Amino acid sequence: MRRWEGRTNEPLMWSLFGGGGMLAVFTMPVLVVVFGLLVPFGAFGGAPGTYERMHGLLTHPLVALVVCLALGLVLWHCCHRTYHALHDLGLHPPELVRAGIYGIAMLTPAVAYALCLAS
Amino acid sequence: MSASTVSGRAAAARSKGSDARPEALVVRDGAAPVSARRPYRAPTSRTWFLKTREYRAYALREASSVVVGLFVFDLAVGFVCLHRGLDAWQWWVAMQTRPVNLILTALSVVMSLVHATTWFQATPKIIRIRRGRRYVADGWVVAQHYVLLLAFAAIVYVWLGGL
Repeated sequence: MRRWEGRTNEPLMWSLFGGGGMLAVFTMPVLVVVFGLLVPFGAFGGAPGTYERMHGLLTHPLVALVVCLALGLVLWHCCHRTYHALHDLGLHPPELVRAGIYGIAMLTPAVAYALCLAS
Repeated sequence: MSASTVSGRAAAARSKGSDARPEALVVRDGAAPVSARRPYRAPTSRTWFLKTREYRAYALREASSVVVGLFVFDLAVGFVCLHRGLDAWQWWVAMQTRPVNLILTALSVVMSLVHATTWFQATPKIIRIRRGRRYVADGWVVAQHYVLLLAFAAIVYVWLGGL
């Protein structure tokens, strides 16, 4: 029987990372251009127009959950690579740094969803 | 067992006779369990990733994750603002035109495209589709990914009322 102590969590970490990466390549270039450039500079009716368009659908609790999970997955991908890039830079940070970086990836979508439900 | 006087490996070897507990569980002086993993770290220069073109491309791709991650955090803030009402959403949209945010956006445009295009270039190495006796050409596999990216762009564009 296999025991826990000899095992690694890397497959779980890696599949979350892979899923986030796949999501990121298809969505992030679009989201950056739309919400970083087009919407702030008045496309799609600026802030009031986009609010009217998005508020009804995206503020549904289930849709919001899916959006938060998707953002969290992409953030997990980014945090995973940021942590591993530290080793490339010749840094071998203690466990606390690792917990902090992955903690950001887990807490951000969780806190965001909680705030969404609260408002 | 006292592992403070002998090395962990010797302690593990000694304990093999009585109870064969893995080295990972050896506790030194009642402290937290000491990991058995002691990876060898080859001495490398701090700037090894600037040495060749391939290394620089790799470093740029890894650096993109930091920038994209910051933008995802920004999007998460915006998503909460969308829930909090029109005033909050207008505040967030106005924030996107501040110089700091514009720098982040400009970097994110470049870095998200670096991340996406380099990944698309790598996909034929992973996705091998057989049709009869031969494989679908690499270019088609790459093209499919660009089509999916454009499809998502079109959906967002139409949904936000661009058409």
